[in-house]
Amino acid sequence: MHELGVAQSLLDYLEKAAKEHHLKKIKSVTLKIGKMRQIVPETLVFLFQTLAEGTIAEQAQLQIELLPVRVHCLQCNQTADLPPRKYSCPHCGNSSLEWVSGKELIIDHIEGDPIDAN
Amino acid sequence: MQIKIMQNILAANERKANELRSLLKEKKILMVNLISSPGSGKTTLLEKTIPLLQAKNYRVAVIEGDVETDRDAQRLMAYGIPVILITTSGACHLESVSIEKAFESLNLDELDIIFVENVGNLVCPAEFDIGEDAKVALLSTPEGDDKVAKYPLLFQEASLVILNKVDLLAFIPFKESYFEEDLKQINPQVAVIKMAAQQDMGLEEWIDWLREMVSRKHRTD
Repeated sequence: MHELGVAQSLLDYLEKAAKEHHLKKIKSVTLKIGKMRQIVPETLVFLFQTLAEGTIAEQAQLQIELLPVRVHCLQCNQTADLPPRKYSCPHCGNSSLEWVSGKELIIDHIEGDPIDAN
Repeated sequence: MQIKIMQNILAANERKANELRSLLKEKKILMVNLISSPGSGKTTLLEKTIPLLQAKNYRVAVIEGDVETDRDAQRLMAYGIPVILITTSGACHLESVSIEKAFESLNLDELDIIFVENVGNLVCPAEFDIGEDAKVALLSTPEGDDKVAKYPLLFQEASLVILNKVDLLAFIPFKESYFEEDLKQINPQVAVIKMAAQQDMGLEEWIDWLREMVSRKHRTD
């Protein structure tokens, strides 16, 4: 249930960002989340919607792009996506790896309606 | 209107964690974030650790994250050290803002080591930086030899992995080779201590690790 902490942090950020960018409404939020984070997208969406009720992000669509656990092998120099629960190079079996993706927890962009200038 | 953000969702928590980290650096206090499942022996480990550290004149405090009760805190208060209880009322982890609050009740000028006993859980506590110097993952053998592979984030983030209750290995189907193989893949450099805290096995190595961490803290200026 770490999704709850993530959803709350996201909402806190959005309320701040809306003020900063003079938005009256946030329409969508696009997240990039690495699979190592073990976030369940449905759970995150559900909790976010629950928490967002009555806030500026009430109607925001949460788009979640899951990023694969991708590594670069320092032995054979190839890049590969790891299957679940495997942490060695699928090509040569070495475990000296550089992490290319998989641990992200990023707000990529948001879309919103600006407050009308008058 | 589209606005590019490109920011970590947990950035606010991490900013606060970094503030705490600089404060601890200034005060030369080692803070250890102890993470495990419920029942793997976090409180018992601390009960065994505290007197050994006190005997070597280290000043210790514990920040105790508990979902509901003050039972663990009560057990530790018996050692005459400051114990700050944070009941999370169901939340599965501690965040840096709760640690900052706990600091208000501690005299940071009179401490060498702070142990944070995180909420018993292998997923959420790994996610939230609380400003610690080291995450210590405690795994007990009855939980099974597949836990490292199932909870990779924690075991990758850990600076030390303690395998506890090794005295039970003769009675349960825990294959040490599976545990070691997974750990070698996920975190090849991590230190491992095999322990049976209740039986006083492996405690010396643990105390040595802590002492080394404390002296490293004093060396970095």
